[in-house]
Amino acid sequence: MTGFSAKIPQTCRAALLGAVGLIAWPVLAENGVSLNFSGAPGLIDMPSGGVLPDENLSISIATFGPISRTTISFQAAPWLSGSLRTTTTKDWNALICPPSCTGADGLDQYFDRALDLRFHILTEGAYRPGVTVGLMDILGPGVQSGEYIAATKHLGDRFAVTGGLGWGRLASAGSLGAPFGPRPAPSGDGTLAVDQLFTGPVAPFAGIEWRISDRWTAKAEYSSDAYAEEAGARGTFDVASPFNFGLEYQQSKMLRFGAYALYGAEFGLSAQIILDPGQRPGGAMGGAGPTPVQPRPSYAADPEAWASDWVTQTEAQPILIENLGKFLERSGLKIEAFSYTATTAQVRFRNTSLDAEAQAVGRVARAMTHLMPASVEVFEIVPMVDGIPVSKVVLRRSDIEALEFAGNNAAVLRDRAQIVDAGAPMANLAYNPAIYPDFAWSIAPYARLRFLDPGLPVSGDVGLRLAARYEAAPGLVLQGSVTKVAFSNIATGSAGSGGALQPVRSDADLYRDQGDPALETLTAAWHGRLGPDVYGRVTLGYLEQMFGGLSTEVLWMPAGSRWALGAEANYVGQRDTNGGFGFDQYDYQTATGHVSGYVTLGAGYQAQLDLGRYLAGDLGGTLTLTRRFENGWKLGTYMTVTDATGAGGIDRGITIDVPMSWLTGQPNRASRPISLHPFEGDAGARLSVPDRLHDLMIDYSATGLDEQWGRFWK
Amino acid sequence: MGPFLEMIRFCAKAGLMLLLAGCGSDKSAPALPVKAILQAQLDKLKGAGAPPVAGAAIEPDAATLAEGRRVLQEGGQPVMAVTDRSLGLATFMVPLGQNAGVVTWANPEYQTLALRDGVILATRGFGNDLMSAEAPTALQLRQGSGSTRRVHYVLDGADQTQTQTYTCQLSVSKGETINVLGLTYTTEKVQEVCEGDAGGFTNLYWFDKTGIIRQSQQVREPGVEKMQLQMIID
Repeated sequence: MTGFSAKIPQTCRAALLGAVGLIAWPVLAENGVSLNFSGAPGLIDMPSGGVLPDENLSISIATFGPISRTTISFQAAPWLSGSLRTTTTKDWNALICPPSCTGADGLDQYFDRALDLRFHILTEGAYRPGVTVGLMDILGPGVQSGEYIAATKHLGDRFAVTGGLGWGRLASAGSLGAPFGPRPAPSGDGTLAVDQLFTGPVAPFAGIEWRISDRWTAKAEYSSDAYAEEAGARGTFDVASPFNFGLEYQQSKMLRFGAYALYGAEFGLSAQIILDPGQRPGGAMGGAGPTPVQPRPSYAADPEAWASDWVTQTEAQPILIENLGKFLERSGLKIEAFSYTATTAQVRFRNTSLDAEAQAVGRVARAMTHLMPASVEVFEIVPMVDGIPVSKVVLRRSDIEALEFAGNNAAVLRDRAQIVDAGAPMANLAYNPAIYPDFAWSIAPYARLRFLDPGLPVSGDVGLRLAARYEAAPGLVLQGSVTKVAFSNIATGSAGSGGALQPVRSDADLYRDQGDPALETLTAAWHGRLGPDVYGRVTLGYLEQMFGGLSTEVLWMPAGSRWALGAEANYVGQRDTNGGFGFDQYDYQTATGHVSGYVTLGAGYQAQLDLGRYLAGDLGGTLTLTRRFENGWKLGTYMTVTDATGAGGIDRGITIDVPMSWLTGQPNRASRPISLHPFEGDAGARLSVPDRLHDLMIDYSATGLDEQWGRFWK
Repeated sequence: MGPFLEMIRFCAKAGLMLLLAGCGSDKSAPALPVKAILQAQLDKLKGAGAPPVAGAAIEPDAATLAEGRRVLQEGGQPVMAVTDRSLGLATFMVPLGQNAGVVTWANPEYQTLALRDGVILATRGFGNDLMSAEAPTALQLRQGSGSTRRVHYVLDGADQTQTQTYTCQLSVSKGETINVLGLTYTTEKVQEVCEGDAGGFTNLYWFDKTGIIRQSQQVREPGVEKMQLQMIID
């Protein structure tokens, strides 16, 4: 007899689930859509008329013979999806070099990046098929480009039949002729080749899927892709037959594997991961429950409790601060400051663990029902982030008492609550002496990952980060971090391409190789509220792995508004690659900064436009579209154009951040242990400053609080 | 003086929870054989409706039950036993708060159940919690006939509130005898069969002669096994 109960502690269960990661979820895919070798809904190498559920994110890794493809796709709307893909072809120059060894012909492996768009123009019905129109590699030089229209119809629960027509590379075998005229030569300049679309020869393709059981699916197809360049001109493999066969195993709702025989002589493998970032794998969030509301006694029952003479007792304030702190300790909430009148009490708090901001506010409100004298009717709850009072939630205590067990209590309470600018502190504001100065440190694993690098689907390093943070006074933070690489799959660090620009980012591998261990950051920062809706930041020190200096920022973020405006000005120098304190190796200093506009578009989408001067001194702008999911996932896509990105050249990419709480189902603000970013070039590179104001504050703004308001009573 | 009194009151309740956890400051306090008492309950739930598996439920002997009841009684507060097969949970809960007739029961891990006269209105700390509910009163249920309406509010994986509406039919069978921690009660068993968009479920309530719900089996979420609640000390 050891513990109090026989249950498996929730934390252990979550840790187990988290460790098994993406593999553990038991429920199987319901619509049975699987991906082809190009990461699109499809058969084996051919696409289908299928579609993934809205907002699903998929990752596909597939290889056969000399060809490997990695694709990341996002279903942006029920009718629209997009993919980014890298293709690696081995033995690229085997037949050609020598004699011809110039340009791409001199490469042993050929790498290609492609952007696809797919339009699901008809959803499948009782009699009609699902139909998808796809544009493959729309910005590319042409080798991978192709268009198609594909229709898929399910016959009963077990069979699906697909037929389609392909253009471009999907008409390189079995062409029926060119109904819309010849295909113009590709321009190869990275712009959208509208005049190419659906031109040139057209060829049919077809296939069948047979769901043998819930887990096993067999596939067969006739391919209209002859691999004219790869197999024909360069002889990297032989196309002996247009027929492909495969067997796929659905390991879990998220994960699917396949083995294939392709083109008569090649063996292929694929792994498909399909995620719904909007839904936590384990459903709603776990974690210990709150302390319930303590209603006040009625005045008739206990008139003394309603007396307001306590306001004049000087010892009340420190006692209330201390008791609030004790009460909220187990929820990971800390009281920063407290002020009151006989009828209104304001608590300024910081959240160190709960991932939902509204939940933190709800817990503070309940603690106040236990501790505030009965005469206090108005609760003002102010979330603080790095010393900034971000917003103020104003609640009537009577509402909290009355609604604790009312049906749909979150929505009803929200109607009666106000979320406004934090405003100036109340007259008798007292800071919690137990909070400042505040020192904290941690050792935790980190993963710095890049994806879609040539040849490696995911590359980067995993290691340990020792971090320390000293908060000397409200808003004044000294912090530093040191990293030590434990594992890296980047072979050897090499210098950047040595272009015309300063290698502000392209020497990343040198920093990783020579800076181990490295002083990652060491900064002194001040954050604060400058006036109504206006916030400021000054950060000085070693700002990031490659740059150090001074960074300043101002943000205007009207409470309750969908938009914000900001400006950032920095003067920085490039750090030595050894991860030490020096700035001598490059002797490069620059002024960089941006004017930024932020708009919350609704449905979790946020747009950001930055205009200014980048790290390498180039001028231009970046447009970023981010989907912020309520549970902390962030999917972003950006486009940067500067005077150094080249004629028609647009630097583009996507970023993915996965919160810890999504994996474990346990409350955790320990940010985003998995972060995937593309390789950055020197043109259009931005300084990476910790704790930019908008990122810091958005979760606690009225918009951020409303997204998760359902968690108020959790 | 409000602030001080409230804190003391709350600490007294939290103190009892610590005692139940066997980590109270009083070292001489007897350990509570929670597992010995409740494991059989948990095992029996597994076999509900199916023939009992031989050896699955080892009933604690009368002396263990009597000792357990004595220890719980010493706490001087009401105690409820809660077992939930889907979570492998077997635990005691004590009242942590009360608001307008709704009592929040909690175990030391702060898993809580909000009950109005024994009927679940909300759960916390169970993952997919019932956030709030419009549920029939114990008085309505005790009628044992007619239909009731339920609305459950839950959060999905994106923290958005989902509304589940159910229509339920009541029926009753009299003269059922149940055993609650060594004591036998003659009860009326009320069955509440619910159907709704999110699925169907059946809740069971055993009303004892005094008219209170002595034992019940109620769902937290459709499709998940019911949890069993037993009022041990009123």
